[in-house]
Amino acid sequence: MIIPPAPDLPAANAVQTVAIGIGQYAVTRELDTHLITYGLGSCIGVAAWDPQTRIGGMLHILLPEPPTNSANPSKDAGAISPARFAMTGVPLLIQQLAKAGAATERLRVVAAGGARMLGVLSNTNSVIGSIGERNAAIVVAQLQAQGIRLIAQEFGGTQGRTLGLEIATGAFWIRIAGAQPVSIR
Amino acid sequence: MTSRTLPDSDQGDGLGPTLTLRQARQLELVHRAVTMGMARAAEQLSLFVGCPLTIEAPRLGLCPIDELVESTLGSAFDLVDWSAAEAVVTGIYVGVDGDVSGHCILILSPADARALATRMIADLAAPDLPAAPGLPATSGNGAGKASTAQDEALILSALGEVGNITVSSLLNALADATHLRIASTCPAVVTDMAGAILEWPVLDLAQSADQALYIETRITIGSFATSGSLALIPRTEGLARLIAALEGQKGGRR
Repeated sequence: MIIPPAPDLPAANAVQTVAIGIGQYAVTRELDTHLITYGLGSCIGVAAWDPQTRIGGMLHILLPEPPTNSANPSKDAGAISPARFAMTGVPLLIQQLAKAGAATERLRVVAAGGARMLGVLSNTNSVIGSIGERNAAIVVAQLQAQGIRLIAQEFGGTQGRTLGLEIATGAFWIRIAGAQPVSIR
Repeated sequence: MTSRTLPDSDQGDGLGPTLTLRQARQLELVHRAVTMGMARAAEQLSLFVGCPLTIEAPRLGLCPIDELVESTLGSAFDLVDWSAAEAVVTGIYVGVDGDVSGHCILILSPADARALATRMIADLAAPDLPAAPGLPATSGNGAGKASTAQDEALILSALGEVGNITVSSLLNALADATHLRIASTCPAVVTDMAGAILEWPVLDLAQSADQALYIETRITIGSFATSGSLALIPRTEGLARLIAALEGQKGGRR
């Protein structure tokens, strides 16, 4: 598939773009790094940045919590792939940021995603259709449990989103399909 | 230094999960069946829209569930940039039911999707159709005209039919080759970021699986400048039934 890059993406030589895929997270203090989660649907991207140390991180979760695996109950997906789930991924990101030297109480956190994609199907398949909302609820609850309030959040709706964080400036941005990014500082 | 953690299954040589010889042979059988099915789908779609087109499946394999979107789009193999996941595409989703349940999504650029729909309904409606929601208008006479709900419904319905024909042909070819019951559900059309659309099958499969079959595909349509793809994503138990049936066929011919 030939897909032209969005025209307003930062120039490749200006920053090092690190794409965070589903079930991944990154923590960095490199000022030329730009963390991005592309094309979030029901998934949620969580971006965090400490203004004093300029350490930042990003997480891309898929599901609210590890599924109950009836076929193989001994398998702990939350331990194997903690960043895949809101329940285990949010504490992991905060813990890794703290380990790198960021202060949890100073963290500025932005989250986006949790949409109902494929509207008709989301309504007819309530289990999968409601995952976005459950993802959002657990991300917020897990952040609250760490004493963190989101400075901005964009959850729900029926559109995909991309979330970015510039480590040098702590500028967050969210873009919906075909639109200009909206900055959050 | 940026520390980026990947799921355990991706660490190591970066080649994805290690396959046994038997699994590799099984995937080869699936690849052959899928290639044949894609050819049948291309043939039927070509007849339906009235222009030559091909659907190839150059690569197929197992990948960690977290990497299904990137493997399907090709960014996992550096074939396209990771930003491919946010490129706006028109996805025509058709559910797969029966012995091999799962998901199928036909992905086209919004302009190509509109051009296909316009071509199909040219005989049924006025030639200057306005843009459907989320689809750019072509440079024809209809550009800039106010869109009516009826026109939008017509375009979406035509695209749904494109998905129906393509996926049904693929599934029928697989069903014929395996004697399994494989059916398709009603199509749903959405124009949005590719990654956000492809997340739907991932959400479903991730409830019970850590690995998934990815099929990298390329649809080349006549004079169109861009290519699309046709993602077939079977659930774990469906893939197992497909493999068992294909192995049975192979054994039966010996």
